[in-house]
Amino acid sequence: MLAKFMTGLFYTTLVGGAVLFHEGAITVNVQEKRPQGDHVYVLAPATLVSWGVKFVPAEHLRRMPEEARQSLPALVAAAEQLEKIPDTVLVEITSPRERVKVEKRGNRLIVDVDSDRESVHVSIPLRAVRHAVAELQARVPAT
Amino acid sequence: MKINPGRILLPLLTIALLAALTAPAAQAQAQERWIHVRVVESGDRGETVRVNVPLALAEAVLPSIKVKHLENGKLKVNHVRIEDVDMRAILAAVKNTQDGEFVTVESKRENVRVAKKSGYLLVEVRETRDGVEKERVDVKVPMTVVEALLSGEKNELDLLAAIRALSKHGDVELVSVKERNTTVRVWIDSKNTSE
Repeated sequence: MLAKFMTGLFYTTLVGGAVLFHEGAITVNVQEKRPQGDHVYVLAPATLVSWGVKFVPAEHLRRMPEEARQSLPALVAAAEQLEKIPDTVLVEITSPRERVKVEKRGNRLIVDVDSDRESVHVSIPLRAVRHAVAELQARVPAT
Repeated sequence: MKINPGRILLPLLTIALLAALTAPAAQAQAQERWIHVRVVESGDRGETVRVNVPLALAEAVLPSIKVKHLENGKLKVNHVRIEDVDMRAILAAVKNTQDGEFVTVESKRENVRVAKKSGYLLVEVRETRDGVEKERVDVKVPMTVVEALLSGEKNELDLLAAIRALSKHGDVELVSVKERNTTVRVWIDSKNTSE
């Protein structure tokens, strides 16, 4: 009986994990460079972003600034196109105190910031970005 | 010695299949045009900025941008005037004439030259102070891009058509600026890096 339960739990976890992570994972890694600086590491399923947009109250979406509303189609188009292009460094800024890199690698958009104070690494699946912005565009009421 | 044809055919088929699968991707990548921007600032606080964007991305995103004067890739420019000169009228005139120098402005501090040569619109600006060159600006735009820019209505510049024309053009350095501590380059090629 217990074995059946554990087997069922195992397969449920496996399938649930596959559903949750089918769009990939968002990773955020922040390390402060001071002695005993904070280290934050977040690994979250990307589907949470697109699912989360579904639950944003309609009244908040009505209050979205017009400029943000108008930029949504461009963001969807940009995310679609980014999925198609080959791997590349889109933007790189280097100065004596800081280095910022925005890169498309595989199916992910990666942002790396390395400064005197901290290093930040953010990795987002592009498909999740596209789905989330498209969902937002579909839910935002027309003006 | 007996030769098994299968031993020769199978590797050949594999190579042919791999070539067929990768050739379209390689061709597509070779045809992808990229716009690169590099800004290098020298000095202690110097900063280097590199931007690499495929023109296809700009082409896909531009129609979706709707701001005050920009819609569907067209920029409304009812009055594009620089120093009281109607730039659209000048560009339209340049389009229909043969190679030559059209505008030369020489002053104590600045020399400006606008010319058409070998299918390009050339703009050169040289700024000098005390006989020393302080700033050097070179702009080189293919005439096909200028024509595409002017292909829309009289009161608009068709940026989308210009980007499409640029995508079909060969490698070209569009803008070069050299100042005392800063150099700026904008160019088009088929590489996805600026190195």
